Amino acid sequence: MTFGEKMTKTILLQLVEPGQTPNPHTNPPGIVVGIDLGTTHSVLAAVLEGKPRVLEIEGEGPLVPSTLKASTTGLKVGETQGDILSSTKRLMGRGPEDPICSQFPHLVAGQGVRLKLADYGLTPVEVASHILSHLREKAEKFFELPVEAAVITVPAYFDEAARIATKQASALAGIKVLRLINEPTAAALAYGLEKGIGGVYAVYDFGGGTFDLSLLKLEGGVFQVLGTGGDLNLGGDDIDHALADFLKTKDIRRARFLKEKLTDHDSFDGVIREDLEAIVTPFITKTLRITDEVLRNAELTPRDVEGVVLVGGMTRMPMVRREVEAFFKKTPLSDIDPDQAVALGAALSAHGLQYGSDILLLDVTPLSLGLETMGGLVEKIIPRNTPLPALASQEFTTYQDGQGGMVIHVVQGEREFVQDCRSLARFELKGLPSLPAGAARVRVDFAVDAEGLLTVSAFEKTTGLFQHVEVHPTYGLDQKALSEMILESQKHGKEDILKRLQVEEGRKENVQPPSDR
Amino acid sequence: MFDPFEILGLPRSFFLDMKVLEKRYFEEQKKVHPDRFALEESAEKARALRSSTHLNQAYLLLKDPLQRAGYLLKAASIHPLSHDPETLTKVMDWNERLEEGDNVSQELAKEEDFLFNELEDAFKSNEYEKANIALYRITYVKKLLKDVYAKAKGRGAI
Repeated sequence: MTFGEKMTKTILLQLVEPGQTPNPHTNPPGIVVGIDLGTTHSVLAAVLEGKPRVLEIEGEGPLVPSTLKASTTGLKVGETQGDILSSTKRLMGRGPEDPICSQFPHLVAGQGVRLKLADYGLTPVEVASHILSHLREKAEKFFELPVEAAVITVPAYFDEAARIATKQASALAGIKVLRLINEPTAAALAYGLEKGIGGVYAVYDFGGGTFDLSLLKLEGGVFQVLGTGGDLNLGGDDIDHALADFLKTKDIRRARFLKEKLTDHDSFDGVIREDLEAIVTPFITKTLRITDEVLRNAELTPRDVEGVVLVGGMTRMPMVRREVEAFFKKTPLSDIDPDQAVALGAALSAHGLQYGSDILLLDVTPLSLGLETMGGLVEKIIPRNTPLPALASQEFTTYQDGQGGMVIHVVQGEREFVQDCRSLARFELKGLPSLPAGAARVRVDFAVDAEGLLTVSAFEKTTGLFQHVEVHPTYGLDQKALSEMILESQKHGKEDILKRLQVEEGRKENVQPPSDR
Repeated sequence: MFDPFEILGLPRSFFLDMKVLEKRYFEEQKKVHPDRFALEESAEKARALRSSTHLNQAYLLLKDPLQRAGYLLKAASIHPLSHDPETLTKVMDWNERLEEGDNVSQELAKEEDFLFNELEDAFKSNEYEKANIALYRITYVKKLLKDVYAKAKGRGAI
């Protein structure tokens, strides 16, 4: 498929409302893009003339800083100077009591996680939606066409709440998400590893905010995730903070600048690389411990790994490369820019989902999903690294005579006690029949779709009482606020698209605005 | 009834080539995975989600020899063993030594191998009752091995 000038015009005539395309493989309905919504930078890519490309607009680089600044004309994305919000991806799906919050001086005490920027009070979801909107506009400027849908990447280790928060941000930005895919899988796609000899590959993704290690098995166009592990609080940002502490400064941006300089300088401005390496060592050790654990869980050794892919800005650091190479005893693959690989893979995935492809991504659950039982213990229903989509059920019973209800508390994590796991949702199954303790039979079903989003249903067997809940994060935006905001953005979004389309010459009659946003 | 062998189009047998299983699994997922229906109507998508989920369940079950054995025994109307004095004595002995700090992991691994061979032999000669006992014992040994690993990890030895 080519994506030249001619094709662009044809596509305009074929614009179809989402969900109304009878066959995904014949009618290319619009522009689809891949978005790497990163902690420090975000990158936009699309498939052009059969190849994934990072989209650049004149005067802007390929990497858009994931920042927000207030100006007299409104909020501006991508500014790096002055009073800015940055790295807010780390707050996605988090609660105000989360220790990560201490890294954010803009945080307002009080209701949930809200950041103060000039007169604005913004949730991390809203910040992400501004960044996504900016990228959407960028794509629309590039193609002079509306964006139909996108694939957005998330860290493999992102939990349920953070994934839902990402989807909420996309909805707010008026972007239809074809699929959330995991960053390491996207990177493997970008490398075209499926075209090679196959086998097990490790993706070592050390970014600004998170570290993930994923093991992928590649065979005949299938990317099967064998296992994944990571740390949501382990990234370049933490090294910046550690370096700032070492230099006894509060200037995090300066620490980051020095860190980056020391990648290709042995010393810079009085700081020598050895100092930085001493600070970085415990972080790298932690990443390798996680790597070892993921291999062990998959019953593999470094020798079973065919190749290693490096992703994320931190992998530019010579010491990181050295240590990864020593661990796997293999030179890692790094010929694609580690800042761009994820977006390129997302573009390939988006293109494949829209136009059909021989490639298939089979993901797993990054963390175990379970329920609270008596005594604050966790009963795991779907263990981590279960292939998706997944479904599992468990039967529970009442512990008191005539117990009329049962609280279903859904949690995520590996620990044994509820207090150490992430609380995802809580609901009550009411109207249980009056029976002696242990006689009622409640079946709880956990269903996780191909993207990793969970739905929980509870079912009382003797009466047929049924309850179905979509799991929503306890933090972030509540559903009512979100729907209102989406409604608002839809109203304006549609107007904007209509306006833009009317400007397009001579094609007004044939075009309908996408209405399903 | 849920039949993982039928879902994957494989002959019903304990002896399964993992390469063949994987190949069949990938082939089927390529047909039914929801990503293949990203732009379809929701009914179509829901169907894909169901088929793909069943396929994953079948694949996971067949991939694990113990679950595979359990399924075949259940299908042959053999009830899972609920009590076996010999196993109980052995397990108590191992537990005691584990408490005393003995390193029993090698011994347990050896026992696991031995029992696994028994399980295979039993299936080879279609002796389901024998397979049932072997399966019961392996389950215990596996659990003990897991405890040993958890303990070593707790001590920081791993």
